Amino acid sequence: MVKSFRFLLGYSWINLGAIFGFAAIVIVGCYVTGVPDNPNVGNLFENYYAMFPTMILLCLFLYAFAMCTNNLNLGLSMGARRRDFFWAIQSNMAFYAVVCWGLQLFMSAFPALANWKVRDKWALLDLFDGRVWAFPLVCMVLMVLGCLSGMVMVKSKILGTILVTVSIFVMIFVTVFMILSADTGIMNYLVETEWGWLWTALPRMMIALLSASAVGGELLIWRTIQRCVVR
Amino acid sequence: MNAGILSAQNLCKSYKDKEVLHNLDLTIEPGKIYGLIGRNGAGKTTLLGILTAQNTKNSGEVTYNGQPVWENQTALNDICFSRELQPTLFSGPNNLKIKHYLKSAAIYYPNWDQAYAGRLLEEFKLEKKKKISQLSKGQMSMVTILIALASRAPITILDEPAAGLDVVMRERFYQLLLEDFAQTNRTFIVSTHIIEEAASVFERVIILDEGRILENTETEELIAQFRYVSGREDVVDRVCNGLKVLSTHQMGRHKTVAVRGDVVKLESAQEADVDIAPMNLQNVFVSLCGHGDAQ
Amino acid sequence: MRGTLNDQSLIYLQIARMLEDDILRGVYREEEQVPSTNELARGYNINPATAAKGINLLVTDGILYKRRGIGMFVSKGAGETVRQKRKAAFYDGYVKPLVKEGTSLALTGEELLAMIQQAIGEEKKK
Repeated sequence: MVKSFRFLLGYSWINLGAIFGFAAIVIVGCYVTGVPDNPNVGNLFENYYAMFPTMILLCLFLYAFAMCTNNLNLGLSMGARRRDFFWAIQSNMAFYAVVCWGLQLFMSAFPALANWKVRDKWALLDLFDGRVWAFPLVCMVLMVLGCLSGMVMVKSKILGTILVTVSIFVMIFVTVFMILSADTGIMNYLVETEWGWLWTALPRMMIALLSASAVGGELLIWRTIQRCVVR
Repeated sequence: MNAGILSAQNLCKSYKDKEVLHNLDLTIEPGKIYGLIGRNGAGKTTLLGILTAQNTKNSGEVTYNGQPVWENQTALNDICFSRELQPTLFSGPNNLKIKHYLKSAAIYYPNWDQAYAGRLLEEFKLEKKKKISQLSKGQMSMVTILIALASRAPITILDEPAAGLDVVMRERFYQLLLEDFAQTNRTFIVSTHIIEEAASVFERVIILDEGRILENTETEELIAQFRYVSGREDVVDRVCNGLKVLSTHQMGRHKTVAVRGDVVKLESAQEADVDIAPMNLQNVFVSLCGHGDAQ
Repeated sequence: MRGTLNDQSLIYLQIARMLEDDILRGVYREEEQVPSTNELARGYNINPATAAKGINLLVTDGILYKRRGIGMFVSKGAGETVRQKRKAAFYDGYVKPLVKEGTSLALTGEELLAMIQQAIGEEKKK
């Protein structure tokens, strides 16, 4: 498994570099456009900073997609064992998740550390600070989806596109949910309504759903890799 | 270089409803250069893919030193299957650089020889920084050959390595192959369309036709069994009595047949007033696999 | 280099014949080393096993012998052995085809013999 892990790691470093690079550009952009001092600037960089978690998820989805299509084919063509490649994919995904989690924690903490003026819109970032394990889990799920989308797309463009669409919905749903629960006003209101119990239970339901999808997805990935034919 | 024995028994493979390989038996003896020849669609790449666990089979066994090759790290470490590179990948043009292929090969092939790879890069005048999508067909073939040779794998398989190479480069390829073989005595399997040029390089030849192995013999032994006999039709017919006639060509009373038989019978044919000429590997192949396509 | 091999007969036979010709021409003298299997293979772009087959043929006929660890050498009296071998094959290889061709051209026995005499005469003058 070491061989396949090293093989994929070569690409992972580069991809992570891209994400870090993007983060750096966004921070610098914020400074240049006066975001730290003005809570209501409302410009591009401010929005990018706010949506950073979603950017990460999107990138990871794409990286996983590539990992499970081109890289899988190349690895197998050079004599990688399928089970080794599967575990190499897992390790690399875990690596991505951990590193991105760290980056996200940093991005959440940075404005406070750097004495930026407080703003409400960035509830999203605060949120990820609170629920410690949620972000890596969401990353993993999106990567599993990315991997599956890639593999399915190779076999059938239609099914693949469906999977990609589903993944995008998941991304949006998670983001929206996180915003809702972060903005405590709305959440408290919803909890008071008829469907209050639903809203209270929703976090746990979501975690269960995400975990189940992750496991189910992994099983599918395992199976697909076992049956994969090299081109 | 200690290669083990790669062997397939009763191999069957079907795509949807079409059977592509039928009860195939094959044993690759170590330390020889094999030529795998067959028409387009005969199943060469499928067979090679299954032998190397890169393709799945429907039934039968493929073993390396008695152990199945599937998910077998020991077997996979000893095998290099170098395929044609693809200029476009699933997600668009193949923007991988040559050096990335080389780096990946260095990771996966335990016997990878970096120095050898470097020498070949220079000789082939390939730039490491170039992307696959920027290479010509000939250059892509050269990368395939480079990886196969530098892998120093005890069993090295090349699928159509000469495709896209001009005649000068092809001759250089055969030279490189023989030089490597002389040094390392590793097992090579080369699948090719360009038969006659490569014939003198192959110690053994495997002829695959419509998913079945027609022949797996020493090249020269095979060729020795075939002759062209030509002359007046009645004399030719008499002479060829008892020999297997593979194809016939007739112009008026002049008849030329391709025959197969034992040497003694063929020698005695020389007594009669007919012209006997040997057949080369390409002629043999066409007469065995031509199926009357081109008469 | 490849150009000297043709597809009119099996390669290993051609290799053997070429070495025999060279011995007759004095390219390799008695007790001299002949090219190794690998050198021949490299020189003619052929598989070493084929080259080895050609050499082994000559070893079997006593024309070459092996010195362990060094290589293949021309045996004593190899030149004579080659000539004997070729004399035995001369009748089937040259005389019979000559007569066969002559017959198909409707040449008489006397005409054939006369031509042979003429050729001998020309050869003597060289």
